[in-house]
Amino acid sequence: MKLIILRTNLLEALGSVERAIGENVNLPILKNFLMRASGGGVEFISTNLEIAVERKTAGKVIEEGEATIPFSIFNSIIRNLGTERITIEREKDKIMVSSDNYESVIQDEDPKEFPIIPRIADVSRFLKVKAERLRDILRNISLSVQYSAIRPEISGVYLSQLNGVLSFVGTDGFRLSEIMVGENDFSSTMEDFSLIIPLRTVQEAVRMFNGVEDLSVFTDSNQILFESENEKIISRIIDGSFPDYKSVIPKDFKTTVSLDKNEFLNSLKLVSAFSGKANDVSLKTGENGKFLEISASDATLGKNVYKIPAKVKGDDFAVVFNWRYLLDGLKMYRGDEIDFRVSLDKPAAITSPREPQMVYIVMPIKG
Amino acid sequence: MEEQEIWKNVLGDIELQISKPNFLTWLKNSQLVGLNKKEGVVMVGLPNNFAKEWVKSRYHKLILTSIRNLDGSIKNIDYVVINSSHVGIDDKKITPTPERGTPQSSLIDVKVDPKTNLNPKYSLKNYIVGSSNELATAAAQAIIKNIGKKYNPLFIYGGVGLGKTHLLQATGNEIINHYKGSVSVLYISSEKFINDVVWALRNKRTDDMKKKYRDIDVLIIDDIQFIGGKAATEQEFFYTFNTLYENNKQIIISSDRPPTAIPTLEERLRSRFEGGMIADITYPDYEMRLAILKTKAQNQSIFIEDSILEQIASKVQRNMRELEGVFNKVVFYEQYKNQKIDSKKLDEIIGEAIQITPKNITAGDIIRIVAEFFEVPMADMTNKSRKQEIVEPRQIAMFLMRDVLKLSFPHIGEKLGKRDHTTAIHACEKISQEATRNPSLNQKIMLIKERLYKV
Repeated sequence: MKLIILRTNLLEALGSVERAIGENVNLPILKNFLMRASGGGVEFISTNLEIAVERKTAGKVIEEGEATIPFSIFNSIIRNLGTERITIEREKDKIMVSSDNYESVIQDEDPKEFPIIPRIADVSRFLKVKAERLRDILRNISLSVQYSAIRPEISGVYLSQLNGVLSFVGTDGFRLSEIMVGENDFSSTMEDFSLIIPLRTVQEAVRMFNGVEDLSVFTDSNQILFESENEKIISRIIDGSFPDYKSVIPKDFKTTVSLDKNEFLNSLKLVSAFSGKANDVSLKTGENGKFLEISASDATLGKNVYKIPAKVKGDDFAVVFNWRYLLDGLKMYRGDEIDFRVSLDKPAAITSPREPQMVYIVMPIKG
Repeated sequence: MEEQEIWKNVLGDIELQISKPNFLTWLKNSQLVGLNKKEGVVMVGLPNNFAKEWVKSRYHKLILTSIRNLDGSIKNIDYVVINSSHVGIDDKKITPTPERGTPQSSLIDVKVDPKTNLNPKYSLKNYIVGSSNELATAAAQAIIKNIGKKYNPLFIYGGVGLGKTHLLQATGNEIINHYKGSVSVLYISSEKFINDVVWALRNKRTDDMKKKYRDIDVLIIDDIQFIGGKAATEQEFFYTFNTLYENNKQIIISSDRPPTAIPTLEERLRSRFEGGMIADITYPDYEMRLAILKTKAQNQSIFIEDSILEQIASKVQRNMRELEGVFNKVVFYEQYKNQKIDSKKLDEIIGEAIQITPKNITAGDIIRIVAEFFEVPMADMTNKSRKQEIVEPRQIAMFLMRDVLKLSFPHIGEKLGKRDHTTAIHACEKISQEATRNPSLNQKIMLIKERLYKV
């Protein structure tokens, strides 16, 4: 194998494969990535046996072939190399990296020992979504997800397609967020399906597909593949059934408080300075339904209260919440109008009249 | 040959032919998931797609040859991914586990009904009744049909881990089912009650609290002994008790000892507790322990050999939670580690689970406690008296010294008035035989042991 490649391209590719470089005592080759040079360009592949990342980039291929290169040493060479044009050559079991005035020889491992990346056999069934949109959704949903060894079925983002609507759901048992995507915003050649994407895969996908136009999603019985023009992530999916989340979302609420999102956000951050270990702040309706009172107190620190102008419809209430959970919910919305909806001791919701496709449910803290 | 047996042999064969790291990474967690003799196809399950691809392309020939050596009729192998519940190790690093102990309510799987505090997993159907808890259960059942009229209050007492909470919660659940929700039930621990009283006093909201507790039809309080000595709580409880009692509301109370034995309890409360029905739950006998284990196995649809269950039941005597612990461990070994449990392994498990620490117990302690239990003078235990009322305690003491402290027979004889070692042998044999036949003797021994471990 022999090729000449530009440093910028190389750095980008290394940034991608870094996400799936593995640490495995039994299989040290996972610390390497696989470089494959062929007529179509140069491919970079890495895996930790949970997920696998593939990245294509342009380069001048002089001789086709494969090499497995230790990631960390190669990465530090390229980062510190000043020249743009880099030549990479594999001969027998050695890899030569050279530029005008630099030369290094790295020990290689047999590319045949590198794990085979699983494929999805049926590529005719897929989902197409705008990458920016999908990243945005996954980022927001993943805020509500937490890794749990006891409950693997909620340690990921639930994705389902039903009657022309895609929904993304995440929960950690204390709060739940759902974002729906209507027919006009995605195209699908798949029949209705549902699956659970591991949190780690979601987080890597969000980081990786930056500045990409379209994303395709393929899946089979136990894997999911995200693919853009030059990049791929393939991962297993979580085997398990996601809880019946629809039944958790309340249909109606005792009180609806309409208020400005940014003001709500800022007040939570401000008031939370006095909140205790449980991140507890209390929310109370003010007299004659004109404002919402947010307060936090701590026996050793002191207390504070913030009043936000708001329109209160319904019963008065005083409920305690984890302010971090509220913050995560508010961050989902793009617009400024927010409805905060509460029923005593039942799940509360953050919704927006302008963005009916999403909902955030959060449980109060027991008083 | 058994399917699993075949696969074990194949793995054993392949392990010799490929490198250890490769074997550990790709084949260690493999399984034979199906065998179609007619078509000669074997289904091999692998933990993930990577393993599947790798094994298929690299080890297929090896496996096929090896398997055909064992069973010539096999022509082909299919590989499938068996999704274990295994989640990536790496995922753990991403998010720290949420802080425990915060009162954050959860959204899904609210197991405990917040209104009644009852956990639906407890029911009378899965409560096993034997001679040790017959009375208490019968009283509870009578109450379910006849709230507030029959036995009020019902006072249940018994040692740790004997099923008081289960009975209390089950009674609450049955009442709710029986009256289809028209009766309001509240289950609280006495600790929660104390907290409520403290909170109400601090925030000057005693009226709210009164309202909360006095609007209830059935009040169940667990572990009442803890309110002893807390004057304000006792007083508040006394008023609540009276209000409910006068309005014919049912009250069910549990404690680890009878009302007379709670030293710090006020006289007026004690007399009220004694006014209803007092039922005790004692240590379950062997048959009941065995029944509990069998029901547990059945409920979880697990098969465990009777001989193992019998051994657990006969060896774990003191506490139901320990019984459960040992049982769960056995299940774990059999199901997840695929280890057959033999009696040696079982002894190990029991040893781990029940850390009886006879640390401070001495022969002197045993003599003293036995003497106290039978209310005979300590001196009589070790003198030459052969009065009937002293012979039995002395024999029990010998038995316990052997059973708990594993002392030698001559030593035991020595300790109890320079008796011959044959006397000690005779006593130990006699008591251990009697104990299996005579439940009341067994009961006595249990109670003495309980006191012994409290030392």
